[in-house]
Amino acid sequence: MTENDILSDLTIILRDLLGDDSIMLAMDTQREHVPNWDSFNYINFMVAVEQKFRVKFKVSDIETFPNVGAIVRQIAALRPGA
Amino acid sequence: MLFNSVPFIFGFLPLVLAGFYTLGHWRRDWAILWLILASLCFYAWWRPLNVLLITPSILINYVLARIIQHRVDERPGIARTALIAGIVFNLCFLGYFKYINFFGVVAGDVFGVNMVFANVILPLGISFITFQKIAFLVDVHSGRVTSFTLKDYALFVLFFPQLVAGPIVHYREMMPQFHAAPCRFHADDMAIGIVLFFFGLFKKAVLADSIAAYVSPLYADAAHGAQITLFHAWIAAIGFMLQIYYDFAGYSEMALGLARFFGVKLPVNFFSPLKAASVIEFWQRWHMTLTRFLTAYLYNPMTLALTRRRMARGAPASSATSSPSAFITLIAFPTIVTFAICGMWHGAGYTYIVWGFIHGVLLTINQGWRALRRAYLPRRMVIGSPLRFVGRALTFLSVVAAVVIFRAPTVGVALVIWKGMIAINGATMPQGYFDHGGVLVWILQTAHVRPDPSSGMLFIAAWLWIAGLLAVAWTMPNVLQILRNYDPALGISALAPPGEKQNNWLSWRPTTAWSVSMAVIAAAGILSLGQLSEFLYWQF
Amino acid sequence: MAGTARFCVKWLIAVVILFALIAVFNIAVDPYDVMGAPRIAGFNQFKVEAPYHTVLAKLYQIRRVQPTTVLFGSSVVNVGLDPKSPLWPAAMRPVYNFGVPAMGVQGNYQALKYAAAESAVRNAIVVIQFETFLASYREAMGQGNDVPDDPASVPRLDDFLLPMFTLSALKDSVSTIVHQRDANPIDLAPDGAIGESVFRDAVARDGEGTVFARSEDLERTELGQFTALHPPLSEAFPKISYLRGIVEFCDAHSIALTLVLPPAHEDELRLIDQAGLWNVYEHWLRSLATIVSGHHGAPTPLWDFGGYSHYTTEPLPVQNGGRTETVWFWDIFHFKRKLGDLIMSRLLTGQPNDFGFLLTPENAEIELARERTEIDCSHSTSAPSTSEACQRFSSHR
Repeated sequence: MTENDILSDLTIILRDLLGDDSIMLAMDTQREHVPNWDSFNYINFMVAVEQKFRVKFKVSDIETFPNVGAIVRQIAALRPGA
Repeated sequence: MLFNSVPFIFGFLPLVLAGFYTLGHWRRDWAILWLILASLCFYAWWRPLNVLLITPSILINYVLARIIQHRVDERPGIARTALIAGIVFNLCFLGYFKYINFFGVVAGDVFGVNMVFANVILPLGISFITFQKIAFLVDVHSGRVTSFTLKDYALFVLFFPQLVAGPIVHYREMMPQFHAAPCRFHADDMAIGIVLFFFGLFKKAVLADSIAAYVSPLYADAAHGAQITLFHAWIAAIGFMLQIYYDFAGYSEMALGLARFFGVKLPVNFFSPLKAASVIEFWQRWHMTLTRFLTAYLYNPMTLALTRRRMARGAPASSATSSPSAFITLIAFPTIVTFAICGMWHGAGYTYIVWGFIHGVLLTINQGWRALRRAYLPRRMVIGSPLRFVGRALTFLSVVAAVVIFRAPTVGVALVIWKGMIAINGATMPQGYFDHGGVLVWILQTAHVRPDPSSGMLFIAAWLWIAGLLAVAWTMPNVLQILRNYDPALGISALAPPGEKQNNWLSWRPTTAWSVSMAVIAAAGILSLGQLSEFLYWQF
Repeated sequence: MAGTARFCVKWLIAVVILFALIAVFNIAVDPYDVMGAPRIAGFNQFKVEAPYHTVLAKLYQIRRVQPTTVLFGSSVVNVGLDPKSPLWPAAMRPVYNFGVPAMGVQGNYQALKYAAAESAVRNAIVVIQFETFLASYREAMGQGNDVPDDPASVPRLDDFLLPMFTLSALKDSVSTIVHQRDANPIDLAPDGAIGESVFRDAVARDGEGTVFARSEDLERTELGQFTALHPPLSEAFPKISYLRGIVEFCDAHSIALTLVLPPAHEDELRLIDQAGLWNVYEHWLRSLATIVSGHHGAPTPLWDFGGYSHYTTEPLPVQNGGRTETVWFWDIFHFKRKLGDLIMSRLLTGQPNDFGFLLTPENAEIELARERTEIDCSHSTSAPSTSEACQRFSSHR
């Protein structure tokens, strides 16, 4: 699974969560740039991502992902296998 | 020492800055030591004994942080134990000083036990310091802070601008700036610091203290058993909201300004919260560093743990709003618990916990509304201006209603004022208006408004103040927006609230017009520090 | 960034200039008469805001006047006794009026000490009122409105810095200038008297009836607080020791002391009776008489202008709109200057000799009996045994 695949999956999850099909995520997108993506939705997003990719984030990581790309890379690093 | 006091502005501050810049000219290290010493003096000014209390706490935290730092890789178990020990120690420290008297009250109420503790006095800023120290230990444990000295740590805890009323700063936000700071006089920093500090002083000393004069007597009367009627109840509620608004805005800006004098930028803590269109947005603009802390260290871990546990037990995946039970477990419960704790953090008393609880419920309702909106409204609908206006009005009313119990000395007093706000205690207006006769009296009588012995002039003055302060809070750009070209605080670029035109019409530049304006603002603030006490009763 | 250094310098200069201008303005207007700035008609002649800071103003006024005679008491003195009256003989001038609203006997004692320290005072007239002695009476001290315990501490830096460098003083300066044009400008005169304009104002606005009614409410509240406190008679007047202190101080400093019980409208006695505190009032009068009867020899003159006289029994005004009906009183406590002049005349010249008498332990009992009968008469409907007594006593009405 490439980073782009992960990115599209994340986009689908977020669109679903926020009920907004117009959301576009790029590797450098920051949470503040997406309308309604506040801290409440963020944690729900992270848990949905955990379920989807079967990974487990550290709480401190969740706090400090600077942008979507960091999340993608962390997922890629945590996933078992390739 | 308060920031808004003559000894601070004319004594402590110039002395510390002069020493800092002079020593920094020779060696940075001396300037930093001077700053630590000054911060200790600032701390000791309130009560010299406090220094003896805070110093062991600093040392213990430092030692634990070192243990964590050295053991986290090979012996994670020990590191983890040290982390937990540190968190527990800090919370107990806070718990003892802040809550021991309240604990006695609760024990008395619940068990009928009469426990009186020798009046324990709160060391300065302990609520803020505690959270900062906890965050530091977590940062060391997670590897986000990798090197630090005792000097660094001491400065981080004691740095006086953030000591009194925050913001709650992360080590990794502040100390790199100190390491890079030239520690010399820098006209840019001085100019921006002046704007921030004196705007803040003006808000606290002139605006907040003025409306407070109308608000405090109402709560005092209610505490003495008076029935507060409709219009006065709303003065008490909106008036106090504005008082605490300008108080906190003022203090936050003064903190930013003071730090800037030393070449350091603190994180933004207050960003026109009464412009928020939802309670969720309110907490992203009010006491932002507290929201940040509670979200990161309380709400997120709690929600994450609950969600994972739910899923481990086979509950269906997908969002927390997919079913009522999911909503309750994953949103309502953590939100209410987090904000009940937030309430408790603000003060040791039932009223604060209830206030926190109310906000927890408001936020939960807000989340529920958002979920319903997502489910039932068309997906691409943009939140337009009219809906945003309704949002602002509802948010305003909610936080105003909630703030009553934050201010009221007891739950009973809050109930009196709440009843007043919905006209259960009737509506009255000052006797003086009824004496003027004419159409006004007819209107008042038809509306069942009765006369009361309060002063007509003070009544009007209170409403004029409220109108003016609301106009400013709702329409004017805040100081951070005015200084937008000069990077006044950390984290501002992330604030781009949707659906709101940027208040771009007022912008600071180092012009003569601004120097004169700032001089007037500074003078007004400083001249409001001294008060000749008035004697109002001359008839006897 | 360019220009920030210049900004800082310009800002600092602007601040200093602003402070200087404001200070000069406040000194020139001198709203609390602390600085002693010249009073200029149309500008700052009437000290409209000074009454809200009465004690502060008087601390400094008295230093400038250097009086030989000082009048002490509450606002009753402040309003009703004229230090400029032609009745004052030359030997007693200059006269200073140190009446302070709500001041009781403890405040009077401190004011006396202060006055004696600041000036060569030879005569003191202290007007004392029943309500201010009660254990429940709060003299509004500790609000920055106190005469300092140590006269040597004055002048104090804050007394000059605050009127120069506060926003409230600036507002008061502006207000002073604006109110010079009032019809009845309130003024704290250089000799300490506030005059009657405050009452003229109140009467014009609310009517004599309302003004009287307010004072009745105030009295009821004061008496009610004492009733609620319910101390035993022996603890009813904890501050009476200050009266002894006043007598002893004047003795020690060779100051001729005259104590005065002011005339009050008969309604006051009726309210005291109604509150069930008549025995307290009797106890007070007796205690006073005992204190002044002189343990060191010469008794201190204690003039009693209270009780029932044709001045104190004028009819109460009805609540109408604004036209003055009463001759002798503004409200149940505050006698008008007309009556104040009669008091001074009696003290200084002995006339009119049917008004006021020197209280001693002996005639105190007689006076109390008289007042008791008056009260009973004024609201008894029956009791034929008293009707004859009532007719006898009604002759002076």
